[in-house]
Formats: sequence, C-alpha cells, structure tokens
Amino acid sequence: MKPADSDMGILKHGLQYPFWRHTMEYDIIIIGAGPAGLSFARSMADSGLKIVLIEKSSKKVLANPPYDGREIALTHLSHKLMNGLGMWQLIPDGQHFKIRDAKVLNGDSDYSLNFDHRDTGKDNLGFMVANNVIRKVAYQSLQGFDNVTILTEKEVLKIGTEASHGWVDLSDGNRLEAKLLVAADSRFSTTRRMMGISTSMLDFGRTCIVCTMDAELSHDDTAVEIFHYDRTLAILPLSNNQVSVVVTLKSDNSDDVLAMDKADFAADIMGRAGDQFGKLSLTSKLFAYPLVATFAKSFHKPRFAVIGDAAVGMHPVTAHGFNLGLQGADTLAKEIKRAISLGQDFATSTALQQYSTIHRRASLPIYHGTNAVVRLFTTDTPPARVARDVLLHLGNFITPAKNLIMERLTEEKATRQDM
Amino acid sequence: MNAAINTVDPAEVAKFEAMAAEWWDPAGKFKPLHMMNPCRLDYITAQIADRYGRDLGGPLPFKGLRILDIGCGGGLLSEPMARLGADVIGADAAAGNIPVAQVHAKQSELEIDYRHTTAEALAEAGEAFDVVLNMEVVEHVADPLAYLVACRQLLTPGGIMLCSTINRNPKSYLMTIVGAEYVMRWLPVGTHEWDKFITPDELFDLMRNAGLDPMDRNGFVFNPLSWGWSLSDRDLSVNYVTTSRRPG
Repeated sequence: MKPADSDMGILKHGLQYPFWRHTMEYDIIIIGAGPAGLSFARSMADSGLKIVLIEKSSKKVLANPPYDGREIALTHLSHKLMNGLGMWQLIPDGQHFKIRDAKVLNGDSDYSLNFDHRDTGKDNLGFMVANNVIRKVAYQSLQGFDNVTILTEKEVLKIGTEASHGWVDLSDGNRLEAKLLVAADSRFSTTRRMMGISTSMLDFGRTCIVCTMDAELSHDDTAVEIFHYDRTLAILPLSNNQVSVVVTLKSDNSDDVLAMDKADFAADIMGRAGDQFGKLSLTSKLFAYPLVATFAKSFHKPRFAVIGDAAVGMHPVTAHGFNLGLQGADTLAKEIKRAISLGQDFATSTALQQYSTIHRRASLPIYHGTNAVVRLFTTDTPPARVARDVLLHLGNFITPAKNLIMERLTEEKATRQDM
Repeated sequence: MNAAINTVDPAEVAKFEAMAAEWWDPAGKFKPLHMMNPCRLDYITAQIADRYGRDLGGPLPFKGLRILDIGCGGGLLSEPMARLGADVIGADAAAGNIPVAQVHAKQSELEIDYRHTTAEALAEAGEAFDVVLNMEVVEHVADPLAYLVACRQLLTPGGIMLCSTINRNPKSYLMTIVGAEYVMRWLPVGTHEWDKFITPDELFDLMRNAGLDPMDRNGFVFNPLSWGWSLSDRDLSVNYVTTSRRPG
C-alpha cells in the first residue's frame, strides 16, 4: 500500500486528516506577562523550549512598570526561588527590605500576638519588595534567552486545544500553536473561562487602599497588623522611615477614604496605629484594589494549565499571593522538566496532573485558612470580637500554632515535594 | 499480518484515534499505567544510560540504540524511548493495539516501527536489540522460560533486558487482584492470574536458566499519601522491576 495514496484518499473525503502535518511554532504559550507568567517563563528558559508570552501592555510598561502601591511580603522560599531564577540579584540595593518581626493587635487592646524572628533561627521572618520592582526584575531576568519571545500589546481572543496541540487566536489576527498553553492572566482569567474551568470566587465586599508613608519613629523592621471593628490596618516596614500602609475596609466606605485630603488621611491612620510610629505623612498617592479571592476548580486540562492568580487568587491579608504563584510556577516547571527528561510528552502526560496535585495541596489549606481569618477578623458581632481576642491571647501561648505560621514564612523547602 | 494504518478507511482511522485517545488519557482507562509510568521510566532510563554511558541531561541521549518494547500496547513506553532518540520497535501480540499506537505516534511526530508479532517470532527472524523492554508481560505468558530464552536471543551480546512483573504473596494478591481489579476497578476483573505471579528469586532463577545474568532489582511502591509511585530497593513485595544482561 502506498501511504501517500491513502493520505490523499482521506483528504478527498473532506476530513481534516492528517492534522499532525501543521508546523508547531512554539512549545509553550504563556498568556499574561505578570509576575507569575514571567517567573514561569524564566523557570523554563534554560530548558531550551521555544516559549512565547502574550501580554496586553506595552514593552515599555514591562521594562519599567509604574509604581502601583503594592508592596509584596516575600517568604524565604520565594527569596530562594527568586535567587535561583537570577531575579533577586537584579533588585537594586535599597529596594528590598526585611521584616524582622511581626505583631497582630485586636482593636484598641494593647495586647498583641507576637512573631519573633529569633524563634525561627533565621535573621528575619520575610522580605518586602514593591510589586513593580518584582515585575521589572522578572522581565529583566529573561533578557538573553533567545528561546523566549514576548509579544506585547496583544490580546487572546480565542483559545482551544486539539489532540496534538493547543492554539490561541490573537487580536492581531494571528493564530499561534504550541504543545502547551499556560494561563497566567489574573484571578479573573478569561482564557481559564474560555477553556471551561469553573472557579469559586469569594467577593469580600471590601477594598484595599494602599500607600506609602513616612514615619517619624523607627518601624524596627516590624510588621504590624491591627484589626479594628470596621477596618483592618497593616503597616509594613520598608526603608528606614518608610512604611507601606494597607487599609482594608468595606467597599461602600472606600470612596470617602479615597476622597480624604492627605493630612486627614494621615491623622486617621495615626489614630488607628497608636503612637508607636509617631507622626505619619503620606508619600504616595492612594491606590484602591477590590478584594475578591478565587480558586480554580481545576488547575489543568490536556495541553492547558493555570498558574499564579489564575490558579489561586488570595486575599492579601496573609501575604501569600505572589509567594504561592512563584511556588506553583516552580512546581509546574519541575514537573515539565522531569517529563522531558523521561522522554514523555509534557503537555499530556501526568506532569500537569502532578503539578495540579502538588500545588492544590500546597495552596488549598492556606486559601481556606486565610478566608477563615478574614471572616473572623471582619465580623463585627460580639462573639467574633471575643473569639479573636481569645485567639490572639492563646496564640502567644500555643507555641505549635505560632511556630507553624512562622515556619511557613521562613521555610525554604516547598511543601511535600519530596514525598 | 501487519495491520498497517494505510490500509484502512477514514472511519477506521477515526476509531483508532478514539482508542488512542483512550490509551493516552492520563485520567482514563489506563490511569494506573500512566501513574506508574514516570517511575518506570525513571528506572528504565537510568539503567540504559548506565549501561551505555549516556548523559540523560543531553539532547537525544539514546541516539543509535535499538530498543524493542514487547507488549507495547498504545506505545506508553515506545514513545518516550523514541523521543529520547532510540530506534524503537514496538511489538504487541494483540493486533488491535498496532494501528492505535501508529495513529498516536504520528500525532506525536515520532517514527516508531510497530509490529503485530511476538518475541519468539522476532527471535526466529534474527532481530537483535541493545535493549529489550519486557514490562508487565512475563506474568501473562504461558511458558515463562521459553519466553525469556527468546528475549535473550533478541539481545546483542552485552545488551540488557528490563523486566517488570508482580510478586506472588498474600499482599500482592490483595493489592493487585482484590484492590486494583475489584475495589478500585483500575483494571478489568481477570486481568491477572495470581498463580502466574513470580517471586524475584524465581525470576532471577528463570533468567539464569534462560542464559541471562541478573544484575539489579527494585520495587515499585505505591504511596497512598502522595498518590504516586516510587522506586524502592527494599520493598519488592508487589510490583518490581529487574535488569539482566546477555553475557558477552
């Protein structure tokens, strides 16, 4: 039998065989060049695979992302991962800071739950880096990798997968094909929706207002979280006198706060922070972010995976968002590299399933734990007030619980990787 | 004899594609094989690299090696071997598997010579291989010794055979027949016959009688916590894998 004849015969019948004739343009298409997408691209860059990132914003913005008010608390694991990816080394001196200790206060009570770095055997509990600095160094870390392309000012209009490949249709009319599609396009990921992955969403009805302030007294490298009945205040240490201030409040009150003049806003924060920082004054504008937590029901399908916020969009109160995103990108990259070294098709084998299992186990308890804390500390009913007061008092004495939280912050190993 | 793909009509091709999709769905009918595959490949690739001095980190580490995959099924081992650069022949006694594996290899853009044949027939035809993969087959054959003799004949002198099977003891009965077939329904009832299971010592004896030098053995251990398989040099109580070598 002549193979050519039978191929022709099939084509004459109008069927789309053989679909394996197409030329594969890329190995991996990443949708979204945010911190998670860029970190994943960097994790895969040394594999030699052909990778393309598709991003809505311009190259100029990627190279120099504007300050957005968000200062990210990074764990020791994130620090280690960013070091391994050559990202940490690119952060200029004076743009990364240490959180040595942390304390949590309930309302105006003087009693605090204290987290002391000396209990962890580390120098500090974590690190602080501005979100736009993370984005900038993640972008810079990809320079010099010829196998990684970033297509900017383009949107994905349609996305789909076939047995042999996945594809995206772009706003410029082009279709790209790759073995694997990875969505890193935010917690409101449209490609995740187009791929039919449902997602549980929890709208807290609250808004985060963030800014930087100048403090009169030293912050002692200590992060302070104060739960008031109607709002939460976090004051995070940056440089010598700078702090990052995060106010979480009901969204219907946020416009009033955003409309306050600088002096009134500062006075309000001072009133809530007590006298530990002395005089506080605003050094940035106010940025507002509505709070919605999301958790994708599935992290993968054949030839498709979700990472970063598209997988787990955290409430920022426990500062796990980017840390989890980085950890997930690392997990996925490791599983793909393992599949490649075993000669497997990384986009359809158990690699994606393994990523999903590992990352869900790592993030699900944190996701629900965080949401439970948020509920407890934002409920104004007297029982909730009593409960959190008891929790804070007990917290200092229940060493295992406290140590667990601190270990999470300072551990350098991803959970469960070795099992 | 050879149910080659180019002799069939489009409807047949579509049917084979559907069957290939079934074979290759990690969450589908062959899920237990897919779950075990990274662990099997870990062992296989390490042993081949060790024997032939290949660097698994480099491109196409198995280039130039001729590998036979006996009982290839949908090609779950043949394709990784081909992707790592080997010249692969996949043999299966079940004719239906051949076009299914062929369809999938084309989708994967891999060249693999799939044949409806047996180890004995290949040996008779004088074929020779650097590596023979003999995974989860020996517990299904009627005469294990005659089968292993054919496997030895298929090896070039110094070539290696990787052979995995299931141990015979109460635990393996519980795990593979009661557990996998009746409780989890991972495998169709009747997939295994317990009296055909072979202990590692019996297998080593069979190999020696077949003229092979047994070299290494390891267990595949299922961890219900991580829901995955790993290698163990101590626990060979259920699934295990061996390496043996044709002298010369």
